[in-house]
Amino acid sequence: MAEIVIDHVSKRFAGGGWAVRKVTFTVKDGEFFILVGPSGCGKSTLLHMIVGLEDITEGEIRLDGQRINELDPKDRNMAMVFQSYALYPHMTVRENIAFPLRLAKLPRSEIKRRVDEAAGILQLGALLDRKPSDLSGGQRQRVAMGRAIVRRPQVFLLDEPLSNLDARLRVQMRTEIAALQRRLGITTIYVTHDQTEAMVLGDRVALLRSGEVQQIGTPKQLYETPRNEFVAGFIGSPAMNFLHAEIGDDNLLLLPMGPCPLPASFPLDRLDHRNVVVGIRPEHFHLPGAAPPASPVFSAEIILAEWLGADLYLHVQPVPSHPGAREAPLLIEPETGKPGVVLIVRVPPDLRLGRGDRMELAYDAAKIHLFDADTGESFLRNH
Amino acid sequence: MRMRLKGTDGLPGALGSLLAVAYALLPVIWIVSLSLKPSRELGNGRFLPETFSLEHYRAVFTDPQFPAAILNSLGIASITTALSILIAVFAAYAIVRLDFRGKQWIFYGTLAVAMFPQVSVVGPLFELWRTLRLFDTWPGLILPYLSFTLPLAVWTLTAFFREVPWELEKAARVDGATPSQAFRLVILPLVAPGIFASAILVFIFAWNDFLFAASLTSTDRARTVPVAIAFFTGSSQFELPVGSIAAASVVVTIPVIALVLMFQRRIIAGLTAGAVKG
Repeated sequence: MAEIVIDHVSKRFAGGGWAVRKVTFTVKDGEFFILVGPSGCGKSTLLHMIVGLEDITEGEIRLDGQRINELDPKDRNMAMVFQSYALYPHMTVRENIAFPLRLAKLPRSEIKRRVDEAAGILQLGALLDRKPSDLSGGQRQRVAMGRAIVRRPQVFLLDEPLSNLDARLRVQMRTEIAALQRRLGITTIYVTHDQTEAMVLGDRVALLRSGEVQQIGTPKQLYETPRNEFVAGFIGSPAMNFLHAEIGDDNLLLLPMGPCPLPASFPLDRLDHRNVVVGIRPEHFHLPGAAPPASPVFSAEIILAEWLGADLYLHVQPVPSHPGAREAPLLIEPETGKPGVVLIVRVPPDLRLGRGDRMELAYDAAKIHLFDADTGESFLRNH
Repeated sequence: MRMRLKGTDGLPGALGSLLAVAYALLPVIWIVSLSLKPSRELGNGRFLPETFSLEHYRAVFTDPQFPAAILNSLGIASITTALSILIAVFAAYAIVRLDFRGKQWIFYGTLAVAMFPQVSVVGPLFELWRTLRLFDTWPGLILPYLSFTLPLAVWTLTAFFREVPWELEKAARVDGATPSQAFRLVILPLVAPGIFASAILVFIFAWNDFLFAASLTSTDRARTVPVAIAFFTGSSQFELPVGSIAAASVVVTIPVIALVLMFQRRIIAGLTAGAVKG
């Protein structure tokens, strides 16, 4: 059993700034929990506080109900994989993996058995007598994992473990880490800046920004019901499109590509005539024929096409369709001097259109998100 | 003649190297040659001895002064080295890893001490040591040696500690090590080349010093080899014991050469390769 409770935990740096502010969440036993956020959001600091390498300024961290704020890292029975792997360069792979067991003063035969077992799980058998400098990045990563799992820790902490690997290896190791965690069933906290890793790996995800938790939930919850504009923009790739809009008479949403009746599921009474930010994910645009019935349709000009094989992402500019509007879309709005509206939309990859072409697009009005233009808070739909 | 360091320069490079080596080694060979000449050949001006003789070696070791001086030298230099490295390791670690007030002052203070002219402290030390009864004792030499070798050792080791990734220490702590275990088992082995390098430098300083040893000792109790050699006397006051001086000089060079040869392979940097990404 290992349940971690982070209870209003804050960290203030010597300079006076807050690295982590009043963070509260519970990681359940056996859960794969992700801390995700842009760099400098305090996620690594939080992890270091959990493992005991950083002092806690305020709040309490409990492991199975016991306060561990003051517990030395060596007594926490947590294992950690560092972003740089932090392998001991003067020791062989075997000595590296055995190091925690040696410190725990296990008998020699038991150490050998456990190291061989860990090496077997991670396919390190042939590398045991090598030094870290003779290993590739992926192999070093495995050794770091081996050193972490060999002591059968209560909690497994990973600090951006894949960020130094190339893209292909990263995907492979991601799968292996997921499989390993499920196999061992150890409570795991995983820090990453990559929303894809967070979505793929996490049972639950906490999204941090400037030291504060923005939202905690399953990847699906974060994707479908982001609590604010930041979460909506961070989760999902390519990122959600944001458009400034006004709500006019009769709950009509006045978007740059034309008006759209607000779905009744929004709290319409609170939205009356307000300025809002509208969020539409690239995957919620469709070709008019493939869109759900009654989806709003608009024309757009393609300014960039990104073809990925399985997907085609188009960067488009809506072409105003109401009478008297100018013909061509512009990258800079002449009235405001601001960049023109550019939407990223996902379309079927076999679409034979390229830069400069015009097309008709529809979007699923039932899937749009609305955010307060001032606070960025989401107006959640009633389900 | 400029020395080239590239090994692929062919003949000019080889010649240059040869010249440099000859320039450095000629006086040494001359001394070795002198020490092996029998007394009657000493003045003949030939580079190599015609007959080999160990009489001067026998002579310096039968004189009780010289073995005593060697013992003093070995003891004083070893203790100086051990203490200097011990203190410097902790000082350098603290300078690199800890944040404390006046850190910069300590760092530059040590540098200032290293640049201090030694001659200027000899006189006051002489008076002070006589009052404190440290004159002509081992500690009387070890103390000034420490103050002049510590800056060197601290600076060298600071450079090595800076190279060690801090995450290794964190990893060791998470792996279950106490702070002292993390230091001993992970950090220390990685700065070992630095420790050997500075140990050799400190040892050579203490071994070679003449100024303090000549001024702060008066008898066999603490007199070190360089001074003992200078005080060698011939059979009469008009004779300079060239042969004995040469033999003694060869003998005092041996420990230093042995030390360097023993540890030179340990002084290979790059031990930290592979610790972190790269």
